[in-house]
Amino acid sequence: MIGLVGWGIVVGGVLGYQGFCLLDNGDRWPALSDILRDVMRYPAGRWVLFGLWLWFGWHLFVRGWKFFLRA
Amino acid sequence: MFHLAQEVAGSNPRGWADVVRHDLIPVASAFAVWIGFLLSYRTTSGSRRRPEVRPTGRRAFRSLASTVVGGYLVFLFIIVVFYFALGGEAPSFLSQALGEGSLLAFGIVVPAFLGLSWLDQRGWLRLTRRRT
Repeated sequence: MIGLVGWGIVVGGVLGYQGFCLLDNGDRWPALSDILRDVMRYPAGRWVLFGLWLWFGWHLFVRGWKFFLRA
Repeated sequence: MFHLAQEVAGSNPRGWADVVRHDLIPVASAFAVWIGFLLSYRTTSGSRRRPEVRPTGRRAFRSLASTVVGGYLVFLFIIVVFYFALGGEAPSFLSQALGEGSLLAFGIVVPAFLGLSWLDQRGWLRLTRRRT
């Protein structure tokens, strides 16, 4: 339970920061989407992001499952 | 009550070595990746208003292949280092994870990306902003 609360706070903080940055007109606080867009300019950045995205999807949805049924 | 995952590796640490392997190194690695992202942003922030260049034809195929293969290698690296070497998972887990990752990357992500891109290009599905 404490893990779920912790992750809820982290995800809420990330979404809140992104929302704040999108509403803020200045460049002082870069939005996460701006940061990731800059990272994707480089091939290595795209590899790392795609690898992390694959890992995240696998970790959450695929690991321990057998052909769309829980093992 | 529902379960998000199986028994978490390192949930019952027996000593400092377990804490370092299961907690300290993964968190420090994630932090290092985040710092890398921020440094990348800092070095290119002057050019962030530059319009994006979308490759077409053979260059687009090469770019897609590079991203998928490179990303899959990063995924392999994560599995081998953090689950096998540090997490102490069995070799069977390793081969299963690599098979599932291959299915995810090459069997689901690439076909879905190509299909959605094709629909976007035909104008049947608006996924990208059109420049006027």
